Amino acid sequence: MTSLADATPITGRELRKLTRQATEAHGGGAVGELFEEVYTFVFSLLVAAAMAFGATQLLNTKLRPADAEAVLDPAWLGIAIAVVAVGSAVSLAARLGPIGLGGGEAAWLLPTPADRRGLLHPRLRIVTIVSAAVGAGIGVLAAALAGASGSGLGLGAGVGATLGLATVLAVARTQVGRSGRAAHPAVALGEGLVVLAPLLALAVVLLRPPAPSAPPSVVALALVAVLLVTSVLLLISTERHLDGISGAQIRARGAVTAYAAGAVTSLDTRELGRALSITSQPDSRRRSRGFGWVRGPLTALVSGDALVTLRSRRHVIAVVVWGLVPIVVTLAGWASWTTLVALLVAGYATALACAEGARRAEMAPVLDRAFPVAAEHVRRIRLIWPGFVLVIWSMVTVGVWAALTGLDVGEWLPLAAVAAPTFAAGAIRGAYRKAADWSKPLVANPMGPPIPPGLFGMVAKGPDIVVICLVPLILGVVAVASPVTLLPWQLAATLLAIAIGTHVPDPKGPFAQAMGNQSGNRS
Amino acid sequence: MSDKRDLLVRATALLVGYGSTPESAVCPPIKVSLGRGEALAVVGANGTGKSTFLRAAAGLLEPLGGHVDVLGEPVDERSLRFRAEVAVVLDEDSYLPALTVREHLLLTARGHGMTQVSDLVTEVVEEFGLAPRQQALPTALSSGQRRRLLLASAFVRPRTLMLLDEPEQRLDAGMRDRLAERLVAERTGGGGVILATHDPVLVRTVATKALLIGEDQVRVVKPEQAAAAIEAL
Repeated sequence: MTSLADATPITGRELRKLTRQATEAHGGGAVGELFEEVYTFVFSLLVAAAMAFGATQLLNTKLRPADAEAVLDPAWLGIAIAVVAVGSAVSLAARLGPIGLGGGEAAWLLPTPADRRGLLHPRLRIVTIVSAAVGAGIGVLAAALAGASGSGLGLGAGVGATLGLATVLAVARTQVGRSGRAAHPAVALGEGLVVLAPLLALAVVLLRPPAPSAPPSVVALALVAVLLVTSVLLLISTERHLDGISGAQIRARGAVTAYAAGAVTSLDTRELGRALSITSQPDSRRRSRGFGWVRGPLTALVSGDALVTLRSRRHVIAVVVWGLVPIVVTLAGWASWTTLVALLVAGYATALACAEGARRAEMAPVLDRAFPVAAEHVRRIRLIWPGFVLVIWSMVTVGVWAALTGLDVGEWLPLAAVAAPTFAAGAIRGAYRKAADWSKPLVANPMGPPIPPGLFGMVAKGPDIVVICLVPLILGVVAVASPVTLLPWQLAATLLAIAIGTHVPDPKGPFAQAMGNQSGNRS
Repeated sequence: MSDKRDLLVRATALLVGYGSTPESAVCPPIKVSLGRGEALAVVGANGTGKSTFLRAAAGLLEPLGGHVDVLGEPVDERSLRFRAEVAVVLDEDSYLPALTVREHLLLTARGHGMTQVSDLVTEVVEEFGLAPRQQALPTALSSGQRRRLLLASAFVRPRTLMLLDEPEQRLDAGMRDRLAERLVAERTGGGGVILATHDPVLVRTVATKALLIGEDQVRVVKPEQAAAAIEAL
């Protein structure tokens, strides 16, 4: 029998090698399959890059000021996007860890005597590669919007890659070897930068500074060199302190990362939002509200929904930022279609932020069943809070747009108020949509990896009624038709959107029976 | 025999399971009833169908055969009456992330139309050992504390019937005793309780009868027999 003293502990590196070999031995994948995987990934990446580049070029052409009226040069837009990207990277890295082990790896590898440093190396490598790659993509986008080409795009990629690398590694460094409490300030810093971006854009359109010119190549190269040296130093320091992360922190961060990765894979924004909320929530509040104003299920549900939004910094920021976007776009003096796109996207995003209560209830239907309200009424009640916020939001944004374009604000405000609940109805419909069924045979497609049947239908559920039922408002904004004429049409369309968005399928109905009761007993 | 108005739950030839045909039932047909002032313990080994029966009784699972009536009507958890009168605590970890422990209970009570709830909530919070954590958000609670919060939320609202799935889970011994006292009070106060459980003490203390689910047969037995069956498992 071998005594404990005789045993040589396995290193993390050896353990990873063993598990990798075991995985490969049981994987059964042939070289052809590996080639197919690599081919699919590379092809998808190229298609996505081509689409992004094409969109950037289009934006650059369409948004570049052709006359004195356009006041937000795409170069400023590129800077705003870069600020949002850095803020998002800081916030995301802080929320995700970014170094951890989830699921089976945490359960089976962490209890072993293997060194943590060796176990966590691959995660650090992935974080490094992904942050540099995403940073490079954003850098190219910003450079393209600034009108760069050729070597300019290359420099943009270089600055973006090293900036992304330095940013994420700086966050990673604050979270190794310590209690991990540094997540909260980093999340706040990232969210602050995200808020700063539209404020910067707003300042630009109001103050009208000249468009920034690209820095000389020497300056850009020097910046890349500084950021690269900083990144390398941070990488070395982070790597040396990997052993200092506690098992609990590794597990917690790994669980959040796995949760978020699963949500991204299944294109489920609801799950992604929940995953990203985990690390930024406080542990307690100084005092509890008495809810003296609550007098039954209706006020209870609305109060719950309102508090879920108002007590979440991420959601409040979303409402503020998305509220500023259409105003900035309007002030920028771009074509009316950009205002329209900004209005639709920002309105829906604001509604999503306010419909978090419904999104939570979809995950835990008991939240809908907790009060004495019949199932068919719950979703209508859950529409009230996002509807209320969107009425104010729409009146402000449409009012500003009407005022800046010289239209009669008094005529447009009623149309905006009547159209607003459509956004909320879309968000409620999206909140309760059925997740894609990953157990069914996947459908091959030429654009990338196979997808489950009904995936696109699932993603479109919610935005679909926003676009369709806002046609009267859309016609008004694009064609500048009379809002008074459009008002009754918009009212009818809004009522239709509410009916569709708050509809609760009857699990005993003929359609649900035919679908094998898949719609379930939700709410 | 119970008057029809006093009959809270009645299952007749009830087949439960997660398939679509009677063949996929997880246990033999169930025949059982529960009246006011009664507590039914649902007992059996793991995987015999205790929770599945409870989900069917809560209207969350369509029966594969037979019927289950709750409050004198075919079970419909979507109805206003069901939601107003039946408190259900299954193994679901559900809460609003922005609300404190105390706020969850206050909102639940007020949402059910109750007024002057502060003292009731304080009492329940203390009884369920949540007083030191009443300003905490659910994400900062341990799994046992979250379980207590869910159970506490069932006791701050009006109800005629309680459906509880293994309420003893993740509770310490002291908390189990207090829960048993609460459930006995519930029963003696004229309410009905159905609880799926693995705890023989809870069965002996709370239940007035038990549903013993086995692979070959389902029997209504005395609590003592059910408790002994649990101990023999």
